[in-house]
Amino acid sequence: MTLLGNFALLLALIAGGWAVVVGFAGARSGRESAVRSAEGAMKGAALALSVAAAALVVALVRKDFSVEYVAQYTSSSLSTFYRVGAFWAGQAGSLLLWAWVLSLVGAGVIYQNRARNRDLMPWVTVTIAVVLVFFTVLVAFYANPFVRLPVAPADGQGLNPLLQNYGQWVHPIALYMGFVGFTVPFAFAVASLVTGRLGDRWIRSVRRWTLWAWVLLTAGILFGARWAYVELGWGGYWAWDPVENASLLPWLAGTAYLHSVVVQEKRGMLKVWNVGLAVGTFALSIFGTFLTRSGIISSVHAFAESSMGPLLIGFTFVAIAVGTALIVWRLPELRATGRIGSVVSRESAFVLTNLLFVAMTIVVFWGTVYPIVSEAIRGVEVSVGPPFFQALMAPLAVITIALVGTCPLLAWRRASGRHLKRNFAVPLAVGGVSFIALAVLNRGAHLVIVVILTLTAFVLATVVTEIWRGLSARHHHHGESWGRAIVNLFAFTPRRYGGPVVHAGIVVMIAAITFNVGLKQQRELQLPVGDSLEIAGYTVTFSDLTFEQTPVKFALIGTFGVTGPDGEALGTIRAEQAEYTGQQRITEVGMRSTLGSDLYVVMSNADPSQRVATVLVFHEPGVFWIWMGMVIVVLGGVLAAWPWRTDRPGRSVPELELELPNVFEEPEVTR
Amino acid sequence: MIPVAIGAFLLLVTVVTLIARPFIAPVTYEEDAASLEQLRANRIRLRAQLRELDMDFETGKLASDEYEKLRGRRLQQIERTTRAMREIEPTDPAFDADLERRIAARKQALQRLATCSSCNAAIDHDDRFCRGCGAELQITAQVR
Repeated sequence: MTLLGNFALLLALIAGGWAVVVGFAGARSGRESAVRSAEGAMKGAALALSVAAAALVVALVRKDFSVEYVAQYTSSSLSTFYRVGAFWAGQAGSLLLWAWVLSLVGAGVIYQNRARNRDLMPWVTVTIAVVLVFFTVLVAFYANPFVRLPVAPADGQGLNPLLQNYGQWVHPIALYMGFVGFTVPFAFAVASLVTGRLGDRWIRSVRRWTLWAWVLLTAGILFGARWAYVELGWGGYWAWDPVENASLLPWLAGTAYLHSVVVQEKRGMLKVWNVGLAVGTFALSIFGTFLTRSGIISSVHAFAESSMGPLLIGFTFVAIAVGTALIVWRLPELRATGRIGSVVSRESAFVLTNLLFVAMTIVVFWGTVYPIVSEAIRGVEVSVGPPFFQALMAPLAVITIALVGTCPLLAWRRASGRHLKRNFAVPLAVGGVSFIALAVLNRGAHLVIVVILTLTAFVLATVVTEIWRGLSARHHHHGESWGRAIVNLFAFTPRRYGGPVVHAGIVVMIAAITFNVGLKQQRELQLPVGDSLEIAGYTVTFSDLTFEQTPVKFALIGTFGVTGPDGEALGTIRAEQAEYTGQQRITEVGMRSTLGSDLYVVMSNADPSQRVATVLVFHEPGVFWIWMGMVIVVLGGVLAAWPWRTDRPGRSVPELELELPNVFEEPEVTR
Repeated sequence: MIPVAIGAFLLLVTVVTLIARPFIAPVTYEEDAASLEQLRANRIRLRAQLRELDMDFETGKLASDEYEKLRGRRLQQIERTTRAMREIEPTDPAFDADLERRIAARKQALQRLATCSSCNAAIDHDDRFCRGCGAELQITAQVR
C-alpha cells in the first residue's frame, strides 16, 4: 500500500506540475487544447490523491504497523472508527487531507465551469494548481504518511486520548474543508485581476463555493469549541489559543468578504476590498495552517508541531505578494461605479460592518503574532492572553450586534424617515421592553449582560420581522400559500433569508457567552469521599471513588451526587481520571446539562488509598444556548448556500453568463 | 503485489489520458449554441434579479421611485437579452415552448373564470364578486 500511496503522490505532483506549466502556457497563448489539458491534469491529480488517501485508509484499517504513521497514531486496541479518524491525527495525514480536498474542489470547479467562465478558467486552473503542487510537495517530501519502518513494531503507540472523541470526525474535516474552500474565491479573484474582467461575475461564480467554505469553517470552529469544552476540563470553550485564533482569522476575513461582495453586486462599490479580502482570506487560511503545523507558538494543539514552518509562511507571503501586486496593477480599473447615497443607508451600514470585521481580524492577528514579533525583535518571550482579546473584541462585538440588528432594516441608497419608522418600530419596541424588564428584574445589576440581552432581543425582533415581511409579501403579492411561501422565500432569495437566520444564531451565541462569562462560578477543593461542596445553590457530594482496568486504560472513577436548591436529588455525575497505555494522564469531565445551566465536574490527583481527590466544579449558566446558537448559525448558512433550483432550464443545460452591466452601475440621474 | 501494480498502471493510464485527450480529441463548444446558452442563462439571472427587486420593494427596502427606475432598467435588459436570443435563433424551441406554456396557462385561467361556479353567470376575469349572485370568486391560478 505504501508503494501505491507514494506512486499516487508522485503522479499527483507530476499532474499538478503539468497543470501549472501547460496551463500557464495555454492561458498566455490562448490555446484551448493546452488549457483543457491542464484541466484534465487537475482531474488526474484529484484521482491520484484519492488513490493515495485510499491507500492510507487501507493501511490504517489493516493495522499495518510497518507504516510509521500507522504505528505512531494507532494501536491494535483502537476501534476502526478512530483508526480511520487517525488519518488526520498527525502532520502528514492532515496535509494529505488538505491536498486531497483541494484537488477535489479544483476538479469540481473545473467540471462546473467546463462551458462557462472560459475566459477566467485558465488562470483559475493555474492558481489552484500552484496551491495543489505546494501542498503535494509538502506531503511527498516533508511529511510523507507512507514512510516504512525498518522493523514493524508489535503494536502502535495509539491515538492521543484527547482525540478519541466523535469531534475528531467533524472538527478537523470541517475546518480543512473551510480553509481549502477559500482557495476558490482566491483563484477567481486572481483570474479576474489577470484578465481584467473586474465586474461582479467572478463573485457570482464563486458565491456558493464561498458560502459552503464559510459554513464548513464555522461548523469546524464551533465543533472545536464544543470539543474543547467537553474534553479539556477547564470549563471553557474558547481560550484565544493561537491555533484557535488561526481558524478565527480566515473566518473573520471571510465573513467580511461575504458581506462586502453584496455591496459590489448591488452597487458596484468596494471592488478593491473584495479582491483584497479574497486574497487576504486565502492567505490567512494558509497562515492558519502555518500556525497549527509549525509549532512556532505554544498551544493546546501542541500535538501538531513540525519543522515546515518556513515553507508555509513563505507561501503565505507569496500569496499576499502576488495578490497585492495584481491589485496595484489593476487599481485604476477597480474604481467604484456607484457611491454611497446617504449615511443612513444599507450600503453605509455594510461598509461599517466590513470595517468592524477587518478591525477584529487585525486585533486577533496582532494578538496572535505579537509573541513571535516580540521574541524576534526584542528577544523577550511574551504571551498575549485572553484579557487582551476580550478587552478589544468585546466592544467591537457589541457594535457588530447593534449593526446586525440595524443593517437589514435600512433601505439601499437612502432610508426615508417613513421607512425608518415603519421598519424600526417593532424591533425598537421589543428592545425597549426587554431592557426595562431585564433592568427591573436585575435591579440595575449586571448592566453589561442586560445591554447584550437587550441587543439580542432587538436583533431577534429584526430577524423575525424580516422573515415575516418576506413571507407576507410572498403570500399577499404572489398569492402563495403560507407553506409554499416559506419554501420559496429561501429558494428564491436564499442568501437574503439564510443570512438573518445566521444573524439570529450569532446573537444567541454571543448573548449566551456573555451570560455564561458574567455569571459563571467555580470552586476547587481537596475533597474526601463523603464530603460535599456547594455551588450556585447546588450541593455536589463526592459519593464514591472506584477504579476500572481495561486493556487500553486504567481509570479512577469519581461518582458525585447532586442535590438542588430545595434539597431534591438531581442524579449523579461521573468524572474520570484515566491513564492510557503509553499516553499522558487525562481527565474525563463529568457533566449535568440542562437548558439553564451545566454542572461541570473535573476530578484530578485522586488517591484511591486515602479516598480523596481534587475536585473542580463549575456552574456554567447558558451553555446550552451557545450550542443552540451554533446549530442555528450552521442551519442558516446551509439555507443560504443550498443549491435551490428555481427557474432553471434543467440540469443538462450549462448555466453560462455574460458580463452584463449592473443596473446600479449606471450613472445616477440627477433630479 | 500484482493487484497493486495493476491499480498503479490503471491510475497512470487514466491520468495520462485525461492530460493527453484535449490534444488528440479537442472538446469543442459550438459558438452560437454556447452564446445562446449564455443568453438564456443570463435571462434567468435577470429574472431572478427582477424578483429580488420586487421583494426589496415589497419588504420596504427600496423607495417606490427608485424601484420603478430600477425595474424599468431590468425589464429593458431582459427584453434586450430576449431580442438577442431571437437574432441568434429565431425559433428557439425552448423559448417557444415556454411562451406556448404561458399562453395555455393564461387561457386556461381565463376560461376557468369565465362563469361563476355558483350560478353560472358570465363574469370578467378581473371580477372579485359574481355580478349575478354576488358570490366571492376564487382565483385558482396566478398567471403572471
